[in-house]
Amino acid sequence: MKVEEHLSEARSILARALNAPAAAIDDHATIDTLEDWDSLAHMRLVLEIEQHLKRELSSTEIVELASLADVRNLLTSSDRMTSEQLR
Amino acid sequence: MMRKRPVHLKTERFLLRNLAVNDASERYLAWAADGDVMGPLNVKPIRMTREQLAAYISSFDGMTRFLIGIFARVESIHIGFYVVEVDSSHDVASFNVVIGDKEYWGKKVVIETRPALVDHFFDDRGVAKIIGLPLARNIPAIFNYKAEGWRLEGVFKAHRKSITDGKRLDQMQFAMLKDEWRARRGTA
Repeated sequence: MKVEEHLSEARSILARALNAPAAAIDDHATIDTLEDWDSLAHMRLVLEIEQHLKRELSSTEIVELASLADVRNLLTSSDRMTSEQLR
Repeated sequence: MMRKRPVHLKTERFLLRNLAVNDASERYLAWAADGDVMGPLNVKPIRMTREQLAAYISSFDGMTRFLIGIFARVESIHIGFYVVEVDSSHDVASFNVVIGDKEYWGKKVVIETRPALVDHFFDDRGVAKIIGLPLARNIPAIFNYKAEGWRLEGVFKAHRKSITDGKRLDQMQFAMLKDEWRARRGTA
């Protein structure tokens, strides 16, 4: 999957967690810039990502999650790990 | 030197003050018995009597151990509480918070109220460092520390045992030094 596709998927996941339209989430969205990103939305976000990746996030991954870019990076690195495991 | 002085702080929507024995209400008792409320803290829900809760409240000396209620100002209702413990030998305080009233979950109560408490303990009680120790799966707590700019000092791997299934749980330590807080608040 390409970087743009990961970004699009990350935006969809974040939008679902925030109950917000994907179009309202710009590329630089963070905990500080999105008013709807509250503690419950954050919990939904972690659960959405775990459902998508079909695994539990590690403590490090949970604590590093604070922006759309972080969600994308998580999807990218997980995708990369899966590809390497398949080789 | 710690003196017994009450905490009484106001934010836009909330009042923070020391809990007293007459705050041992049915609402508060219900939180202690609610697995949804206590679960993220890895604390077994317990059914207490009002007298037991009053005794628990009385156990806080208001000098090194504080039980501070969070009250919604408009509705004048008790919605949660902070437990603050100060190690006066080292001027380090640990903060814990519980929002018992589920109507206030996701309403940024902690993000609004904790800064007032942090200001108070740094400025008025001589504390030099404040720490928070959430479990790694206490996602709302992690969010609040991140959103407030606390620094992650470390992850204690498999540091706690789950009360529900015995699984080992990671615990995190977030911290804030007085200077860091001042820099963040723009009052250095």
